[in-house]
Order: sequence, then C-alpha cells, then structure tokens
Amino acid sequence: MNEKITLPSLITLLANRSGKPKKQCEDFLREFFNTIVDTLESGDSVKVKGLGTFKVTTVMERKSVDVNTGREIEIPRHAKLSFVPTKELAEEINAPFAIFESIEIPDDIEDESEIENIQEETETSEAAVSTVMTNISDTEEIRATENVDFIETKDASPTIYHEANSYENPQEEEVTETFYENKKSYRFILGFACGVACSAIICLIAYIFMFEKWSELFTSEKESIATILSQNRVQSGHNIASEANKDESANHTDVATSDTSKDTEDIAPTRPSDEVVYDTISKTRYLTTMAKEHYGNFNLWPYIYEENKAILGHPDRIRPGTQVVIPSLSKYGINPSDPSDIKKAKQKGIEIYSRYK
Amino acid sequence: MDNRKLIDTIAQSLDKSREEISEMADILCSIICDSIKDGDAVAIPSVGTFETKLRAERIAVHPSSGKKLLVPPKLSVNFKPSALLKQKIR
Repeated sequence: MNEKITLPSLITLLANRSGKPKKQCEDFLREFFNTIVDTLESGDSVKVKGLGTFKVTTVMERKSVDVNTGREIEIPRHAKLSFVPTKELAEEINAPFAIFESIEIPDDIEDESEIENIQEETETSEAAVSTVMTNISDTEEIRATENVDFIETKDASPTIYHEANSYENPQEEEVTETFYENKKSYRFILGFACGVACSAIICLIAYIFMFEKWSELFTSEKESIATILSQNRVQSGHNIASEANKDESANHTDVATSDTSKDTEDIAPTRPSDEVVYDTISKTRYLTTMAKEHYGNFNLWPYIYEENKAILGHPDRIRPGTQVVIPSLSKYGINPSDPSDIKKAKQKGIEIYSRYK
Repeated sequence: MDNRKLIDTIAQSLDKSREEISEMADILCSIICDSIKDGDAVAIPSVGTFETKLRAERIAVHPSSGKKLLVPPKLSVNFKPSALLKQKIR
C-alpha cells in the first residue's frame, strides 16, 4: 500500500507467479516495454490485453499566458501519450466505489445553499473515501477483507444519500444552516442525557438493594427482641405488674415486626399475589430470564408463554419491547420447588416448539 | 498494434514460443492490476508509472435533459509516462 513497486520487485513477483527464472523474467519485461515504447515512438498505438491501450494523441498549438512575465505565449503543437484502461481493469479498480450511483439534483436550489451543500457533500464523502482508502491501505491482504470493505462503504453511502436527500426537500436556507450548526450541540446534549439516565438507574438499583438488606436486618432484630420478650413473659408469669408492662411492649414490637415484614414483602420481587404483573421483553431479557426472576426457575417459561400466546409468535423470535403478562403459578397449579412440575414445564416447552415445526 | 502482434514481436525477438510469452504477459498484467488495486504504484523505469487515482465527486449537467447530476467519486487507473518516454514521443 502506497508503495512504489520498482522493476526488481516486479521481476521477483513475476518470477514467483510464473515459476520461471528471474533472468528470463527480466528479459521478458525489458523486451515487453521496449516493444511498447518503440511502437509508440513510431506513432502507433499499442493494445495490451488485460491492461489497456496506449495511444499517442496530438495536442494542437494553443495560446497561453506565461505565469512569470504575464505575456502571451503560444504552446506549440505536440504529441501526448494517453492510456485508456480496459473496461475490466477499470471496473476492478473501482470496485470499492461501484455501489455509488449518480444522483439527480433538482434545479430549484438557490445558488448559495447549493454551494454550501456541495461543500458539506464533499466533506462527508471525503470522510467516506478516506475510510475506504484506509481500509485499502490498512490491509495487506485486501482480497481477504473485501467483504468488510464493502460493508464499510455501504455504511458510508447512507450518509451521502442522506445529505443528498436534503437537496430533494429544499427548505429555506436558514433552516438548513441552523440544522448543521445545531448538529454538534444536539449530539452533546444527547450524550449528556444518556449519562444522567445511566447514573440514575444505577443509583436506583443500589438504593433498592441496600434498602432490602437493611429492612431484612431490621426485621430479624425485631423478631429476636420479640422472642426474648415473650420468653421473659412466660418465665415471670406471676409478676402481674411487670407482665402487663412487658405484654404491652411485646405487642408493640409484634406490630412493628409485622409492619416491617409487610414492607419487605412489597419490595421482594417474588411475591405470590394475584395482581397482574407485567414485564417487557428486551434484547437481554427473555421469557426464561423472567421465569427465573419471578418463579425462581427458568424452566417454567412455558407458563408465561401460554399466558401470552395470543401476542407471541415463535418463542425464539419475540420482538424486543413486547410487554407480557406474568401469571401467578397458582393459576396453573404449579409449585416451583416440585421436580415433577419442572418436568411438566419442560415437556410443555418442547410441545410449544413443536407447534412451529 | 494489437495484443497478438505485440506478443508475436516479443516472441520473435526473445526466440520463445508465442504461448509462453502470452502467458507471461497475462501474469504481468494481473500483477500490475493487483498491485495498483492495493494502492501501490508500479514504476517501470524509462516507461512510466501505473497507479490509481481518486476522482472526486462532482456536479455534472446531463447534456440532453439539462438536469444536474451528482456524480459519485471514482477510483481510476492512471498511467504517468516518464520524462524519457514523453521526450521520445514529442
């Protein structure tokens, strides 16, 4: 890439590919190009198969201006060499750009905005071109990565086409201008918003987790206090005054304990209540993930599927973002800790898959 | 001079068979093609340099319909004759 292949390396390449001695290759190369040059010198054109046509064309005399003195000069008539590659060669070389096509531009574009848009266009496609070029130069074995190149260029093309689309909907000049100006700040705001959202989610998760732990600790402490107190009450049954006192306090703590345990029940994800629970499928959340979370066993996913079979298709091709109802297991009479029920669920899963065969 | 005549001439002066020379010429062309496709330049002393050139995209006007067209960028083969060859042809 970006190297100059000189005659010696060309001879080596030729010798390697043809399997002939270097001396013979060198002779051939010299003779080959000498013949071409000699023919061209005689004014004839040379057609080489797989490469192209070398042709001598005459340039007529023309008038020009001397750049240094500013005086008019006449460039005399002379011959010039022109090389036209064969169609196959030209197509092969242009392969990275072959996907592009000419785009029609409507006439009703104002001149200034057109120039601006052209500049924008040039910038974007220069970027696209540079990606293609770097791809070319980055890889020694370009043919191996040709697919990647193609994808890259394909990626680049929508940007160009997107830019070009702005020709087709010619808006007022100012609007397009501000659009390009705002593009950067808009991106910045978007990034900032993403960061804030991420940190908020992390904080929420951490908060829930901590609260759960803390409330668990709190509950167990209260419970132990209650048991100690009730033991005391049994032991000192004859002391009425102290008993009433302690009874009151024990009752009090009992109430507190039941309150806190209710709280923990609300927070815990695995609650056996009858109210409808919803969950949303995402790229990382499947029916099995939900079953694991809600029932404690991923094998129980067929029951979620059965509950939502009206909106779900093939169990492996559920669209992310689909909201599903998580049924309570009591509806199907399933006990997650019973191995025979798990077995039943597995068979149900196989049965669901067999529907789509 | 077409390809056949060129090969005949080389074969005569090198005293080799036409097939052999034809094969060598094909290999040489494929080498040049592959090299310039990788972005290299093939320089042959006293003849010139084969290389790829990037033609930038431009706005052209369709000659018959008069419509403006955005022509995409293009990679093209370029042969730059050496000063010696230019001198010889002049």
